[in-house]
Amino acid sequence: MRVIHTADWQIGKPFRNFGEKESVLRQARLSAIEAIGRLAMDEAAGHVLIAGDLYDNDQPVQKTLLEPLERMRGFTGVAWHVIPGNHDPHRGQGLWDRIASIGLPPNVHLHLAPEPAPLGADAVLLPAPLRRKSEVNDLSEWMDGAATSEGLIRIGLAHGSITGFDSGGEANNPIAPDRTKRAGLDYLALGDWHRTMQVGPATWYAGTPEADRFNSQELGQVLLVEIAGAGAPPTVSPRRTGTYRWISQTETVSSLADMDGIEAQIRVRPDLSSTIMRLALDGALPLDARAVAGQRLAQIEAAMFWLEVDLDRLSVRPTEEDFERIDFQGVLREAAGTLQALAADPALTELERHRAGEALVQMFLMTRSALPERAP
Amino acid sequence: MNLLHVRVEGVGRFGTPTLLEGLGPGVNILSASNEAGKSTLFRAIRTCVFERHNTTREDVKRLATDGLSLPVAITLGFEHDGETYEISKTFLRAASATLSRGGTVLARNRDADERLWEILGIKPDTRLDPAAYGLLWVEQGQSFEVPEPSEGAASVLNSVIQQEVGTLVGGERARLVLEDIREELGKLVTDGGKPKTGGPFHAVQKHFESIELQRIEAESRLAELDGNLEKLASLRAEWTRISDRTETERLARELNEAVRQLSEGEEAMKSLQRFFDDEAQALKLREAQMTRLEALRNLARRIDESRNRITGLKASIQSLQSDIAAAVLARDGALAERNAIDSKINELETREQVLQRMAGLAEKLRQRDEIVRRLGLLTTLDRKLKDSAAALQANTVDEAAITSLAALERESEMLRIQSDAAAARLSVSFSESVQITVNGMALGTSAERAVTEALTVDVGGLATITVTPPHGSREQADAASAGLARKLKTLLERHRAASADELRMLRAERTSLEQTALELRADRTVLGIKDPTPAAEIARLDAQLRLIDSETERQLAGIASADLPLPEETAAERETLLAQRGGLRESREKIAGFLDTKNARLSGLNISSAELASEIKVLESQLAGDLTSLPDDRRQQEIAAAERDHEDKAAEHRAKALLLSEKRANVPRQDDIESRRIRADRLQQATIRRNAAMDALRDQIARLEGNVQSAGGDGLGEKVAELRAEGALAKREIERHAERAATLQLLRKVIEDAYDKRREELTAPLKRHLRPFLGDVFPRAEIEMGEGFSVSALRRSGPAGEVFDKLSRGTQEQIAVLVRLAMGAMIRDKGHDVPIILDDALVFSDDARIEQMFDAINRAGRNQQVIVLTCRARSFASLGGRNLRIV
Repeated sequence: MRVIHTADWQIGKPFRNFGEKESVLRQARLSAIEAIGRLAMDEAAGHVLIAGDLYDNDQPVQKTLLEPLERMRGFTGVAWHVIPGNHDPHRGQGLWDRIASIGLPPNVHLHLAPEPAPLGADAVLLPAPLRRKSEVNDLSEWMDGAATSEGLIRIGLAHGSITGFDSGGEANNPIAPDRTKRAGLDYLALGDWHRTMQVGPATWYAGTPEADRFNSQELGQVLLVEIAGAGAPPTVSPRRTGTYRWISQTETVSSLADMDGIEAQIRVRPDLSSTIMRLALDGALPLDARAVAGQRLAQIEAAMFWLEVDLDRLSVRPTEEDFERIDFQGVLREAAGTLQALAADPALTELERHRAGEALVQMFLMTRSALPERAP
Repeated sequence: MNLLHVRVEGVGRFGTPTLLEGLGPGVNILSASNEAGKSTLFRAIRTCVFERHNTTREDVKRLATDGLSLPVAITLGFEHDGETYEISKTFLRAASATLSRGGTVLARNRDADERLWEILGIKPDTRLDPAAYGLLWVEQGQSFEVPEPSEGAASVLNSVIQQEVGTLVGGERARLVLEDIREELGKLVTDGGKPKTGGPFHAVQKHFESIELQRIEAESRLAELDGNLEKLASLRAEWTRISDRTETERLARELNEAVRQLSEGEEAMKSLQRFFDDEAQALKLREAQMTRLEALRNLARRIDESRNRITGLKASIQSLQSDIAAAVLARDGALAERNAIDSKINELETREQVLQRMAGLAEKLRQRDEIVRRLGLLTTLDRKLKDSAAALQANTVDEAAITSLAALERESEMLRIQSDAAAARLSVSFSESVQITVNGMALGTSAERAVTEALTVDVGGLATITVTPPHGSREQADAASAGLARKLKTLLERHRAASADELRMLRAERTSLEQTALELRADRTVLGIKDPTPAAEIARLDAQLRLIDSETERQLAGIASADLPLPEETAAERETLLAQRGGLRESREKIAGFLDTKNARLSGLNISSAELASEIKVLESQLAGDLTSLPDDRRQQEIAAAERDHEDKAAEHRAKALLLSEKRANVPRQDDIESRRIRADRLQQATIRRNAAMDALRDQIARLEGNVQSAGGDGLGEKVAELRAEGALAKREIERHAERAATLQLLRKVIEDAYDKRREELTAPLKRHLRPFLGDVFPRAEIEMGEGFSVSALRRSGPAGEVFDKLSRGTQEQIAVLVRLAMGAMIRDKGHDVPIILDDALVFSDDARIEQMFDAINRAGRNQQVIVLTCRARSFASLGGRNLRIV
């Protein structure tokens, strides 16, 4: 049988940092659902397993509540199986009761209790829904004793952190690392980590279908899981569903040539307009190069969906030519020297040194833009 | 630039073509009175140089001559860099501009405007901020102000200084950078470093505060919602526990079993109760029969007792009757003795009354003597009063009669005297042998008389001589005399007197009578009589006497004695009587006490006898009734029958009691049943409590569900997430603005510090140019300059400077003009030849100081054109220079 394993949709997550582009990113998370639906149809996967955190929180507005349901409704040939995660735990009168009172699409199945549920004729689903944001007990433990008919494929569906495996999880919802083995599962579909990760031969975190942060999964994807039969090892294939690529990059620069190299590296990316990048620069640049770098970065930013530049660790290294651009002698030249000294003064805090460097850059920019060039 | 001539038309008061002539290099002075149009010419020069010809600015419109529809036409002739130019501009109407050089037109209109600026080195559109011209063309009223260069003017100065000190200072570049920094900082923060209201920093901070408030409120609501959800989950878990079916069924089973056991026990108890009832009924019948037997026995006993009692009572009554008879006898004897004593007492009292009447009679007789004596006195007084009244009535001569008599006699004497005095006098003398009579009356040997009446003188009979008074006087005297005589006669007749002497005697008698009457009235008063006469009192006393006499007679008749005993005798007898009566009354009291005792006893005996009789009657009635119920002839039979019945009932009861005892042994004990009841009740209560707890839990869950539903439906969680994200974003923005402000503040401070270090170098050129001018007015003085070429202090002697603002207004103005002259000299030295125009300056300068200022102005005039406009011709007479004329 074939199933799609996904998790951590976190519909309704705000992206205020992105200003007017926030709505685009929110919309992209909904579009990912359609991508999943299409993938399921294309791959003849009759079931999509959503391992928690379908919603970003358990008190969304009505529109946010309905949007993913309606996206799923559209794929009538696909059965969507949902368990609550730590972002949207099942609590009485909570999110899932609201959904139940509204009425679920017929192809969407909520698993709010740790009870076996059939996945067609060949498999049975053993869900471990979260009833609070943080569980101290391993809710997947019940799977060990869950009796199922002989010959059925046993698939676990849970949301939490594999104990002792990594610290990438968000919540203290422990899952035993050998749960798959102890429960005789053919596959354990996990959610919580936003990065696709294989924990064991038949234990996977699907990651998020649309990336939503730096330093995590660059591009959203799901897992296509194929199991030949009970006891057979699963074949797991990541499939892209996301639109926006989240890249976090740190570069060290010391000259304008370094900036040229960075720009070239960025510009060769094919999906530049859908790339979200955090570019941190460190090292030191001459003032002139620093000014040019600013212009270059502004141009690159315009070519990308989003560029977030971090220059906190980038210092300035004024050259004699930079100083002469400010002035050969006199007030500004003297002030520039003072700022340079402050920027290198070990007695000052890092912030104060950085501020002095920025002041020097600012003066350089002002003298360059506001004053006529003067001959030496 | 040196102005050569100025021509205006349609400008202010110069409606017709007017020429300012006489302009040339050096000092030029236009002395004219107020309202002559000096300032108008000043503004016309400025307008012509700096305004485009087609401007519509209001200050240009205000330059037009009032009431005329003429265009504002201004022509300036000037020399610049060895060339002679003329610029003619017409404003507002038929606007035009023409620039010519050496008589050749160089440009027209817009080109002329801009070509002129190009020639003079003025940036386009600087308008009223004309850089160096603004510094050197000092408008009326502004000459005493500290020259604070505008942006453009400062730039000119800096560029001039820059040319002189080169890059050593760099002040102009620093100033421009500082200007940019201040402009941006001014939008971000206040001077105190706080976010500037209206600026982006302030706006994002306000936005952040607003977001934070919303976030806190939303998080509070979300926390409450989370709490409710947690509580709801807890309650639901509790519900699950309480509503556990196994536990419910177990409790129900236990309750049913307990109820069943209790019911069985209670049923057995009910069955036993019937035997209890039967035994009780039998006992009741037995006791009833016993009661009846006892009643019969008591009745028989009472009949016997009644009979015995009646017999005893009757014997007692007989004994009482004997006692009553004896008591009556004793009482009657005492009564007879008391009556005898009463009779004797009555006799004694009768005699005492007689004695009392006799004593009273004796008293009355004593009173009668007194009455008789008083009656005698009153009778005498009455008679005297009557006699006195009669005498007084007979003698009426009162004091008035005597007075009238005396008056008549005085009047008669006066009449006689008057007649004698008027009458002839008759004197007669004769011998003794002849007897002579007058009117029959013999005279002596001589006589003299008045002839008031006819006198007949008889001379011894020998002769008769009649002398008659004159007829008239005699008649009058006679008439008067007759009148008096009639009055006297009337008086005497009224009082029954014959003469005046008798009248006077009667008067004396009446006086005596009146004295007697007075004395009698005094006697009457002494006797207590208030009436005029004692007649009434006499009558009263007479009546009293008659009464006493009549009473005495009657009393005496009652006593049957003709005479009354003596009072002493009466008193002694009465004393004896009283003693006797006292003894009798004492005896009577004793007998009365005895009678009371006897009567009381008799009454008690009678009552006792009546009571005994009454009791006998009651007993007889009761006995009759009892005998009806239990006649003597059936007594034995009925009592025997009752005893048999009682024995039967007692046997029946013993049988029932035995049966009850047997049944009781087979029924659970009361303690057991009570235990069963307690258990059933306990289980029942537990069930009820459990149900109540479930109901309460259900209510709480429903209520919490309602709260959750109402609070959770508005997407609170999503809203909180959005607010947190927005707050974080705003916070980053705040940090970015704060860091930007801090960076700019650091930059500003570093530049300003560097600037301050170079200030002396920056101001040195200006100071150098100022020094000769300053020496003309303030020898050996120097000025200190602050930021932007402002004058901060004047140092005249010693190191300490005088703060510029503290200087006198005149000194301030002089220094301000000197600084402008120095600026002009400095600008000119750097190739910018700008005329200096002073409009009505030095208004605060005294005569000595103004002369020194004239020296300074003439020093400036050596190298550049200086135009002085003034209305103070006499004060400025010694300025020298060219005199300008308005023609």
